[in-house]
Amino acid sequence: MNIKRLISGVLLAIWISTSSADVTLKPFQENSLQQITDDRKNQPFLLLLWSIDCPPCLKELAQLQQLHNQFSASSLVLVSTDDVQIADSVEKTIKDFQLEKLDNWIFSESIPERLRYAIDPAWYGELPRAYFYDASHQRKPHSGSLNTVTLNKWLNKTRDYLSSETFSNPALNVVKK
Amino acid sequence: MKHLIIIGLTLLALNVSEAKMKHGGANKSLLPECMEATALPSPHCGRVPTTVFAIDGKMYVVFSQHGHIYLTTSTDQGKTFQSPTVVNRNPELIYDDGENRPKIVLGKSGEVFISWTHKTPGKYSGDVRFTRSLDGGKTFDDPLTINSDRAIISHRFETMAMDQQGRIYLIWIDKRDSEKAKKNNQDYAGVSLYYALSDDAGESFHPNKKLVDHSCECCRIALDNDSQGKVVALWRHVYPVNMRDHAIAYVNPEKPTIEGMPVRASDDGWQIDGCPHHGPDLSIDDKDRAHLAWFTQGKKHKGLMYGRFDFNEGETRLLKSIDDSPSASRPQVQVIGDKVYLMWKKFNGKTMDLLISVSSNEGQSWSDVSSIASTENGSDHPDWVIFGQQLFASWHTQSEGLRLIPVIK
Repeated sequence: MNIKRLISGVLLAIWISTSSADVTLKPFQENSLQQITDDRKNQPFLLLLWSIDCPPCLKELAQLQQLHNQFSASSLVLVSTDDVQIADSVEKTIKDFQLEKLDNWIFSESIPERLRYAIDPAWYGELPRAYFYDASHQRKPHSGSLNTVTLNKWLNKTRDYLSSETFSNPALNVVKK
Repeated sequence: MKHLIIIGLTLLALNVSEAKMKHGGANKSLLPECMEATALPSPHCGRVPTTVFAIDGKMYVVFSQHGHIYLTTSTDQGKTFQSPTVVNRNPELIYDDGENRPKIVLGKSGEVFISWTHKTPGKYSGDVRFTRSLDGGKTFDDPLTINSDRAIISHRFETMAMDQQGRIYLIWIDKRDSEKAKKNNQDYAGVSLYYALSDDAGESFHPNKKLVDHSCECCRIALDNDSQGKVVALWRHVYPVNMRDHAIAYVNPEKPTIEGMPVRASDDGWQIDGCPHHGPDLSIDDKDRAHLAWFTQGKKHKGLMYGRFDFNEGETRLLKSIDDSPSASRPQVQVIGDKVYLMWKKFNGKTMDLLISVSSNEGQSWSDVSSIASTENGSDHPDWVIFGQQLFASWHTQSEGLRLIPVIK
């Protein structure tokens, strides 16, 4: 295959995915967490699991909307645990909260328990669920809504990393405005 | 190099619609005969089939497919099915996930009563629907909407029972009081439970009555009959403050009787501002003791729990952790003869297994756990089905369709 054509096709795809009308929602599968952590080597990030069926999750998305300028696709990963069949509703919700520039995923596996197990065998599936990853990828789980104080504290603690040039993976910045 | 990384990310990013086709979500059938767009309605291809036996041994199954509720029957315990009958002539959006499934109750003279929740346009909103057949399921009346409040809000998770006199009870989760409080800037924990009663074999229903304030928003309600045929309900409640433990009560046909806080059936101390989507199950023995199974993540207990509630003592005893692992879910309990059966789902890292344990002494001690079925893809909630002294597990899975697994032959 012509590499030039491939690259221009890919750039087109990126242009589509970053144009304001679209949400890039990726299928979250058994190996996806590995990909997510590999893409963020030596970098702290927040992994947040949510569902459109969970009112406190929507409150949390509203909070993130307030703070969204302080997050990027590399520092905040949102994973919807909704069935991939309702991906359209999930995309609409992401747009409603203007969170389309973040790294968005949706559960895509016939046994959702398999993904829960892959993420954390000790997680009962309660939502919202957050994992605070530090730079060495030691993580701290949190169940239930996050308050603004906790979020701001984490943002302050990790701001050095986020503002520096230490991103291991420049590709993650392509969707950063 | 940068481009290559971008390529990798982009190729990964374009696949949600492919994932939709491939996995079909957690409930869509993966059976070859169901994959075609022209697949005929069947309990294997449809969603959330719910099974019951008539006295003559005929098996009735209701399920949801393409906006219709269908009824089918089987005379060989689910090996083959008659071609299904449409229950609601006009298609509509239907809640058809594990916690929200069509219900079926059979009358004493060939009546078939069916209920479901219709999805109305708002988020979390719905209406309770009911219809009946007086000719054994050949034809159905036009469906009735049972909730008198018609705001586009939640009237969902309906469940149905019949008492000794043949009266039909529909009970559901209703947001009308919570909405009213919100308009008046008042706090209101959770939502409420409403019910409606028919004493003319489903021809009409009496006005809606409130059973209780402050139920949890999104867990199914469990119903069963006591030895006199009276109806008992078990539901997840919101005790102050945001304590999502269970409550139990008789549903009085004449007038609502719960005053103040309903009697507590589980006390796990689960405080959460959220919806567990994981309702309880209930089975009442011939001494009118309620055997309960539920899921909790309270301070005191975690995982799947069993307990036996005594109405005279107003207390749940014989507490037992059925399975405290995070991969165990959907516990079901069934009393049959002098035995109590528990059944639940558990993901073992590779397959989803259906596990059971039995008590031969009214819940005091339990057998070792054994596996009765397993699947490699998505699965519905399991359910117990009884025919005389025979006990079956009914389980719908993406790869296998609807299975009726004999537990007591």
